[in-house]
Amino acid sequence: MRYIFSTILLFLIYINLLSQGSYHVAGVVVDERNQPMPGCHVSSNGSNTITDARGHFYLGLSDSKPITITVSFIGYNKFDTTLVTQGNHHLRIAMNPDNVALQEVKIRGKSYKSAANHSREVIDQQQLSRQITGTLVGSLDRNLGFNSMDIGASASKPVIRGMGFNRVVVLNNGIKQEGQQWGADHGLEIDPFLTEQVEIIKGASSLEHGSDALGGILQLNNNSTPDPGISGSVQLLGKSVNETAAGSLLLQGAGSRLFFKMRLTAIDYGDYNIPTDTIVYLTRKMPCYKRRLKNSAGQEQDLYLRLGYNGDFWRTALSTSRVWQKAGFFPGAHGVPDILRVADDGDRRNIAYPYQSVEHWNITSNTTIQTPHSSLSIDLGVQQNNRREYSQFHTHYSNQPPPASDADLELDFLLRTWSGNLRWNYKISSGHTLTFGGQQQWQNNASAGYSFLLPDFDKSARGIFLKHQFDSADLFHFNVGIRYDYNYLDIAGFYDPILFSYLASNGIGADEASAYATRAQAVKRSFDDFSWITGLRFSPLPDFSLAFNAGKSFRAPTANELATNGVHHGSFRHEAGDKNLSSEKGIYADLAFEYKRGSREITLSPYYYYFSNYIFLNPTGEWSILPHAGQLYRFTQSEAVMLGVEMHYSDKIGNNWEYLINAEWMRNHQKESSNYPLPFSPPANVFGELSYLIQSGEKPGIRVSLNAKFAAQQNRIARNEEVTPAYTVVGADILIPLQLRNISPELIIKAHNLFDTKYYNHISYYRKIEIPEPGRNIQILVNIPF
Amino acid sequence: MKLHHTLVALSAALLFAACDDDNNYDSAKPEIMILSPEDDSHFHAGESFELEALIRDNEELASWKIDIHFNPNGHVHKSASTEAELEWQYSLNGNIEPGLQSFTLKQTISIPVDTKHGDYHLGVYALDKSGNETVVFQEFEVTDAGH
Repeated sequence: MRYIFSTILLFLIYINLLSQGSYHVAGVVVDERNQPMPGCHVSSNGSNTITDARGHFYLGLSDSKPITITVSFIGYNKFDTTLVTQGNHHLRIAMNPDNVALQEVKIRGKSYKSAANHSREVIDQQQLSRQITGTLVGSLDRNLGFNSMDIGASASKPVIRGMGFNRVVVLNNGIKQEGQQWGADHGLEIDPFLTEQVEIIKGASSLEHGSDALGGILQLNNNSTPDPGISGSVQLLGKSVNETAAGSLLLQGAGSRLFFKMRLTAIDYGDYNIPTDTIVYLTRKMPCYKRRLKNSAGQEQDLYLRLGYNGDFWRTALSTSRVWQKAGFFPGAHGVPDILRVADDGDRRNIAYPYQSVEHWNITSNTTIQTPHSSLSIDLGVQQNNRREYSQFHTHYSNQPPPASDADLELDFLLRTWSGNLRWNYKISSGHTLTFGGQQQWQNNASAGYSFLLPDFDKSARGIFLKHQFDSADLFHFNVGIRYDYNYLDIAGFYDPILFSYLASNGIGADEASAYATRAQAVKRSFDDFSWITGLRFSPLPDFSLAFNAGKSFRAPTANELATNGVHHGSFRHEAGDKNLSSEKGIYADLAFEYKRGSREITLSPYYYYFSNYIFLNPTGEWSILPHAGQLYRFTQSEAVMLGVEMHYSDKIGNNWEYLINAEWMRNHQKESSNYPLPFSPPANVFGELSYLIQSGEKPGIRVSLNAKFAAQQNRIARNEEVTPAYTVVGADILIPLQLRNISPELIIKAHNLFDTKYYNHISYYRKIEIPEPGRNIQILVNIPF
Repeated sequence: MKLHHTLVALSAALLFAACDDDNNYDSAKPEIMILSPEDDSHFHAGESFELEALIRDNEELASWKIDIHFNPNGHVHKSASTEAELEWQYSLNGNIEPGLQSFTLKQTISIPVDTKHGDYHLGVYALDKSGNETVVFQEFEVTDAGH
């Protein structure tokens, strides 16, 4: 108790020390819908400040004479008030839009960077709506430091700075999305039409979200308040590569306080084209009939509803969504390659065995209370992710009988997650802001099916953090934060008597058979970790700024890394967990040089990571005795180093031409007796785009772009990966804004892999079975707002 | 222009630092050539055949494994324990003496009398000292006597 009191006392002293002047004016600036307005210009008696990400400003005053406060923002009418400062003033300032100029500003306001000294990329609604390709992650691949790990043409997972799986956190409206991130054939269960704003946060970011954010965070939001009245949009998408037909309807409305948003999406696609008629896998030649990848067809149906209320000092919203996907697996990917299984079935759109179906339910509540000094936000979420893999009943143990019901259900994972985040942001003075927060998450996994892959487990994770931000006018911004986490994992053991008797009947001794039949060890472990972050952004010249970030992050080992033991049917590897693994810990530092003058923008950002115990699957060199298995792979920890450089250059030539170049290079390796590279490392690559804008007066004109991605050969490979050759793929975009009475639809024609190039993506799921990336795709996207 | 120079210098420095690490690792897999039997051979239950495979590695070989299993069409293994004929499963592994870059695996394999007729996969695996693994598959058929 004494400890808590002294902490509070210290905290109060700290706040008091940082406060400045004898009086102060603290305020929050909101727009016509009570949403905070970051980036507003606030001036009083000659001194100036800018509202922060939460719309707050603070003015310290040394004497008591009348002051005039002026708040301005492009597209809004100027706000003026005069105060006599006999004491502190707390203001809530509501800005009124200047309807003539607002249209142009809407987009600008949204791309405000929420923390200036992080390596962040923000993609706004307009840009996102033009980039839709059927998978959200796939459409972000062009971004610097971000790569998409594709599972065929219709699912993908995010990779930030070469880290994926459980090393990247996806936040959906503030709540950490929980699916089967650890699995290579798992895509992100999020409606590709839904997201309004994407923020890619690069660098270890455990501070605000705890375990897993070693590579970075993909932050997705659709929390904007719609315009008053009823509005919406219809989006239609057609793709040639797999005959995708997709449509999405958004209907939204707002009164003075209440608002709603609703979205319905349906996607249906067939087997996709690959630019080859033969796949050579394990020296077997596999024909690809009609140059299509058999059984890669699928369907998706998504639903979303959000209801909200915006009060003067608080706002709240409740949203619910259901994402349902069903997608076939290439039958040649499950098992030893066999020509019979890849024979043409005459139907491009059927989904035969093997396939997976995923249903993801999500209920999220977001509440913010904003006062002139502070804002308190509470996010609560419940998620249920149910992934099922169906494959006609088969067994590698001749004594296993088929299940009595649902005989073809091979794997069934039911993951339930309850999460809560609390965050309190307090503006102490014009320069100092404190953020205090905490998280709690519970998780329960239940597995079923005739195969076994992941044990049942219960997990709880909690953490608290404190972050201090200091801004000195435009010259420099500094922040520092510390966090403490406690995770607890209770994994149920799983013993397979069928496997035991199978092995025993094959003459294996009881001890060894029993060790193999223990498909999961019962493990109870707790992991506690401190993490920290610090960042400094220095802007000595108006055009130039330099940012430095450093931090320590961690990742608690997952249930499969700790406990599983058996053949992974997708990879045909016998993978064994190690119950003694410790938390993966990474220290990182990055630098960002930014230069902006006129239309020219240059950024250069080198980074470096050091892991004291990176978890990876280590080939042991011992043969597994299980049928169909090669050597045993065991989850092992070793030191690892990762470094890279990201570069961006964009400029305009005259009024019509624009170009951009994004280049990235990375390198990593374990630090052991042999410096093996880490698996799934993206090769050095360059993305370039040249655009021509046909300007017709004031109205937005037609935009034609040509782009190309070049990836170098990836010859730095982990053991049992394949060298991936270099490739260049060319694409093109045409954006045609239309005007039909009072609606302004957009027609976007996109071409990907224009020359039908046969190439491999080193980090794709199908890479290891030698399936090239999808062939030429021409897609048509129509956005019709109403 | 100074800024550009700084950027170039910094990237050069970083590249230099990056290339500093030594490439003392071996990611090259062993190579396997099955010399006998030929792919798609036919055998009878109760017979035996000679497996001969040439295994090579750029550095040093470690071990081998032979895996034979039944391949019903479409990969549907129904449980077959009640039938008189058994889906034959065979597995054998062994070490290769240290220091060898090339090794010829020779093994006589007998097909049990009660082996179920049909297609089988014959897999030969090899490991090198670093844990690089190669597997090569062939098919053969077990047919009726006199087929």
